Amino acid sequence: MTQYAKNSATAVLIAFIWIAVFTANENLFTDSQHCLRANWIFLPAAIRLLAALLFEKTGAIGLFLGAFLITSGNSAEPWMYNAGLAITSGLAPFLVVQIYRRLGLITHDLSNLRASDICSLSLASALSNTLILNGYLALSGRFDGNPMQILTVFIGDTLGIVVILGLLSIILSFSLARRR
Amino acid sequence: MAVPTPLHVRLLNLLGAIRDLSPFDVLTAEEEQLLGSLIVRWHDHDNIAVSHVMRDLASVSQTTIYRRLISLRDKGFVRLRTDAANKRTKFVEPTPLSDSYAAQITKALDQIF
Repeated sequence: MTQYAKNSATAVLIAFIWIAVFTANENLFTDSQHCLRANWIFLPAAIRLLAALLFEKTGAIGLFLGAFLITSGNSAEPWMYNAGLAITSGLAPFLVVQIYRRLGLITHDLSNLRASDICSLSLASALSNTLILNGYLALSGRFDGNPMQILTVFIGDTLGIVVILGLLSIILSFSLARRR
Repeated sequence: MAVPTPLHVRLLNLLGAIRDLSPFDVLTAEEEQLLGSLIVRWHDHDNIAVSHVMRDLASVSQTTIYRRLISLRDKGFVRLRTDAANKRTKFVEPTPLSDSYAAQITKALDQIF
C-alpha cells in the first residue's frame, strides 16, 4: 500500500471517528447545547487534539472531512461556508501542535511529551478553536456578538478533552505503569 | 532528511503521557505478592531489612526486588528507613496505606468465613 493510500485511509478513519463521537455528543448532551455551533460539553474536541498529535497533516485533513460531512448534512448553508467551517475544525489543533513543535516543546516522536504538556496542549487547542471558529463566524457575518458563544466553545472544548483524556488515563492506569 | 517516526512509537509516547495524567496507581501482580509477603513479615518481626527481603526471594534478582520496593514506596505502601548505625542498611516499614490494605484483606476474609 502506498503512503498516499495509507494517509487517505487514515484520514477517512479519522473522519468516521469524528462523526461517531460528534453524533454521540449531540445525543448525550442535547440539553447543554448553547446554540448550533456551541455546546457546553464537546467531546469531539479530544479527537481533534489526538488526531493532530498523532497524524499531523493527515489528522487535520481527516478532521476537515468529518466536520464537512457533518456541517453539510445538517445545514442549508452554502457548501463553501460549510467547507470554511470544517477547515477551522482541523486547522485549530494542527496550528497548536505545529507551534509547540517550532518552540521545541514537543518532539516529532512525542518522546518528551509529559502530562503537563497534555494539559497545556488541551487548553491551547480549546483556545485556538474558540478564536478561529468565532473569528470565521464573525468574518462570514454569522456571529451575533454574544460573548456566551465564545465562552461556550472554549469551556465545551476544554471539558470535552478533560472527560475523554481523563477516562483514557484511568483505563490506561490498569495496563501501563507510570513513567519515571 | 529526518526519518519519519513510526506511528506506534508516537502512539506509545502519547499513551504514556496520557496515562501519567491519572492520579491512580494500581499495584502489579508482582508488587501485590511482595506486599503480601511483607505484611506477613511485619506481623512477625520488626526491622525488616531490604537485604533480608532480597535474600528470602532468591528466585528474583535483587535489582528487580529493589525496583518493586521503590514502586511500592512511590505508591505509598512502604517506607524505607535508613539504619542510623549503618547507613548502608535500609529497613522496609509499613505505612497507613499498607495497614489499610491488610485490614481490607481481613475484612474480606471475615465476610467469607
